[in-house]
Amino acid sequence: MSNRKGLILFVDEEYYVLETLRKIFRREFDDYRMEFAQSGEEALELLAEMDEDQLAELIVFSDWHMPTMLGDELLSKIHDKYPHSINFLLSGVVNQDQIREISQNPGITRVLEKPWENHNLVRILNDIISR
Amino acid sequence: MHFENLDEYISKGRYYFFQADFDSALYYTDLGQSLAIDGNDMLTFHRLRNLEGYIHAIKGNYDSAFMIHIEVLQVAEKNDLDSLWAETMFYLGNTKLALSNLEDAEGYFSESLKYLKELESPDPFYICSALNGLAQVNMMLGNVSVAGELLSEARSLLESAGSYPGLLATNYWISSDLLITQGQYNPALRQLLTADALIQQSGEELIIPAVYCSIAEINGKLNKKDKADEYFRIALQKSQENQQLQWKLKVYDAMFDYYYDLRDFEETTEVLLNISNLKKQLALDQKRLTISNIENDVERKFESLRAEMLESQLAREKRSNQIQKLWIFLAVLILTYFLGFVIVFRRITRQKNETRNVLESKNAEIRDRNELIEETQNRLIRSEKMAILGRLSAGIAHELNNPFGAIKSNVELIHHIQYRELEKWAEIADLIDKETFNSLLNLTRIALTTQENTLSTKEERKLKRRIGKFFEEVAIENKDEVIEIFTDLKVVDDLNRFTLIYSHDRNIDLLDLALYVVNRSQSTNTAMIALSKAEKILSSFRMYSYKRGWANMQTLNVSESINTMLLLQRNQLKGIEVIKKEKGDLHVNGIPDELSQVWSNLLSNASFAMKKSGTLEINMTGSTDEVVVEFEDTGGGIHVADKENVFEPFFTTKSETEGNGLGLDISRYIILKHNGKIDWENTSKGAKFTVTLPKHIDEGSLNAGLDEQ
Repeated sequence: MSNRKGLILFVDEEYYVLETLRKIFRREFDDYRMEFAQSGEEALELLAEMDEDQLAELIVFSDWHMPTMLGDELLSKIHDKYPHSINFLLSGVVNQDQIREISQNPGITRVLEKPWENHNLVRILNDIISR
Repeated sequence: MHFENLDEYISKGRYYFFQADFDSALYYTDLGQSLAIDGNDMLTFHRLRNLEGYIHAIKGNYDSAFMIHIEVLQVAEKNDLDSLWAETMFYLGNTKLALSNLEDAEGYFSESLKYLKELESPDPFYICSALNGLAQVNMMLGNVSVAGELLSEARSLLESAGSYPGLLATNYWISSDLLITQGQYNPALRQLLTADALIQQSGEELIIPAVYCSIAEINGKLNKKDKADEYFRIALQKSQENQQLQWKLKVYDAMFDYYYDLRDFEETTEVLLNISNLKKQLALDQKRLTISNIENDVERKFESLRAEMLESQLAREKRSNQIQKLWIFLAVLILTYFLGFVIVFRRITRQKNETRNVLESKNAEIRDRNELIEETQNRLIRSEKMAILGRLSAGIAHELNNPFGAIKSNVELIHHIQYRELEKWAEIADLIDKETFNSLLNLTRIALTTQENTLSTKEERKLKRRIGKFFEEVAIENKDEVIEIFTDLKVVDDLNRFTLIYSHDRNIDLLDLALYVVNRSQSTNTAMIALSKAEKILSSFRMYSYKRGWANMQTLNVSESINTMLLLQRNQLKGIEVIKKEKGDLHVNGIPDELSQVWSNLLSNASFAMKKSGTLEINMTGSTDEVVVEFEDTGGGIHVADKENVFEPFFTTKSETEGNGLGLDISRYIILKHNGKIDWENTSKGAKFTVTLPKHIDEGSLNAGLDEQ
């Protein structure tokens, strides 16, 4: 039933953060289906249920610090299974050294800082998609 | 008072600066600056700026001092003002020296001197100041002979000029420091007394705390404790009077070294607490020092103090062994005397009494010593709390980013939606008939009521599938979008009520209108939820940092006490699953503040052992007499030869920056103080710490557990 070319997946432990992301991206990327998960396990489960053509393009935004699986671990796993995915890590960590270190992870396309600017998030994604 | 010659303001500012009357000095530099602007006298204006920076630096505002001098330097360069350039170089050197950046300071001072000496009529004030500064730098770098040469060059200039007594006093003070480093205490003392005389004569009190501090130090070296005490006291008093808090800190540092060398732990602890307080005050005043480096400093000093204390404890034990041996020896002696020489029995008794007196006074001494150690232990607990607070506040800043970010985003969204909604109405108002409009109102109303149920992402997908099922039978083109919006609206039942809307030509626009209203209300809710999260984090933090009342014995719920620390250390525990199990009544009598420290340490250790993945099980069991708390982690356990080592001070598996090895020692102290027990064992997956707390203790029986140890 899908006429969409890909999926944008948001992962954050806090439901209210997901709600906020949903509203920011609503209507901005009509070609993409949006999905939400509250943990790494749930995100992987969700991806496993999807058909291949639904994942022709895959963009993931994941929080870093989550209780059961950390964001960088999740993004590494997603990258291993779906090497074409574009992965953003959202992080509230203030320590620049830590951020620099985590950026080395090949599974992470880019680290984005929390709190974010709404229009910046949209612009960054727009740049990636139109490329 | 107004002066014709603007240079007068520089002299006045400088005069009050050396009098250590910084308010008046600033008054004249300010006034002079505005008059210089009026008179279009750029050179004097910038010279006054430099002087203002000089005053900032002595008050510890190094950043603003540095900014000012750099600005002036740029002006000097642009306008080819050689004298201003040379002067500014000196001020920059002075700021760098205050920041202990010796390399830069040396560069600036040398540069300044080079340019000053090229000038036709250089101001001796700057030459002498720069010479003094450069000498100080060289002394600190260990270049004794260079420093000595620079000092005597400055001194002969100052003596022939006859002005600037404050600078001359500084020169004597630096000379004395140089002599101290060479162990020449008496000559150093003579230099200081000359400096003191100069200061008394001229009233230029700028460096008087430093002079008195050095006098105290020398007296200490010469074993004149009374004089040392006295001069330290005056040095503190002077630095306080003149609001030279940076100097005061230096005096305290010197006092720490002195009393520490004397092994006067009472005084040393007092000084440490003063250092800690003063540094906090400075940090608040100037927002310059971070809490953590204060704590590190204090912690480090406490650590060495602590090591010394242990040493003295060992010495004490050794002594009591000797006393025991003495007793046995005496007993044998007395017995022999009694059997063999009945005649001298009386004399022996007398002798025995004398010995007992000596022993009693020794025992009293040991008791005093014990009290001192206990008091120091209590202070350690407080300092450890400060360290925990420092750790927590870093995590909390991060923890607050989430809710504050959400609040910010949602407020922006509300603002944004407002406009979109208006635009959309303008676009389609004419295309809607009354019946459709009513249906839309109805949909919006229903959607607003369903928003109250917060769904998990899984439940949400289920909802979407149900809506999708309904639309299987409906023939519309943009089905996917319609399904998505109904999911967002969380309206799922009796969807055929809304045929007018989803079959409408502009169905998406209509649904969007309902969604805008719903979104606005959602955003408000989200912002409120985020606010209450932030509030909760902050109130836990406040509960922990709030001192009064918490430092006293009271009834508390162990589970709540642990919850507070769990919330505060959530950041540290991320990636770790925490399972809490409670059984029975968990109330105990205790000191909440101190017990929180124990939980905090156990949580930190567990999270450190598990490195961001694993399970921490916290089992709490209450019976009639006691509450037992178990912390069981999956961090692989602790590998030591002796089980007891773990509780020893400075036992740590962490690197230097991660911990000081005092956490468990202090935790055990706290638990013993509460008449409880703390123990640990390795399990198949990790380590298990067990804390047992008696339910009913009162102030009187506090510490009983310690005495048994």
